Amino acid sequence: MMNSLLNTFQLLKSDPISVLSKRFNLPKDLKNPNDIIQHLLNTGQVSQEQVNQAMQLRNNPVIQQMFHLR
Amino acid sequence: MAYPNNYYPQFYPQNPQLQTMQPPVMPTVQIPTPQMATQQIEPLSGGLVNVRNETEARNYPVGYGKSVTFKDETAPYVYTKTMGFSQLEQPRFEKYRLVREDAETPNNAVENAKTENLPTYAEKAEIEDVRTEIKAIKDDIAKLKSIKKKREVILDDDE
Repeated sequence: MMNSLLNTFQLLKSDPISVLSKRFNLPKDLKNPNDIIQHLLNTGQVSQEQVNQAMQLRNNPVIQQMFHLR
Repeated sequence: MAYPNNYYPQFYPQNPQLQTMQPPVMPTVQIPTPQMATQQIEPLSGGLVNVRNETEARNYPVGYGKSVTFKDETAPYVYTKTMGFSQLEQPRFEKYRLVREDAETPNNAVENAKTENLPTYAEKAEIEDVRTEIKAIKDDIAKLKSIKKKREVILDDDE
């Protein structure tokens, strides 16, 4: 259980687009993160509130360190 | 059997006969509900989404029929992006400038200038003092002029 979570996290860190494509069945031409989120919103797979909360996570120092943001 | 409600005061009739008919009030223990444990996560910025610039706000993904308000982290602006209900409708983007109400605005500046240019009034006694000083100076000037004339007359007589 723990190993599979770690593997998923490593995969998400190394190639997030492919993980998201499989998970949310994204069209192959979607590569831009904003386009992906827009697609998820349009198809009703995520709500606007979820997007807002996720987008605000980039201000979290822990997330910034984890994904080498800024 | 009526269930006692902790949140609203219960009505108990004053008639003692009726009071005896009332079922005894059972002490209730408040059991924590599952809602308390799974509270909704509060929005991180009070409903506003922080962005670094206008471009980020313009490119922010917004769902159809939704509207998002942004607060610029680096400039005093607030943006709103509103999507139509279909792809055919263009998204509406609005930019608002934040102005502090207690800061000096152009209107305030005009008001302040008006108050600065208002005439200052002197007291009657002060004006009288100035008048007497002016009169004294005028007298001195007149005396000097008369002395000068006398000298000129004397010089003309000598010649």
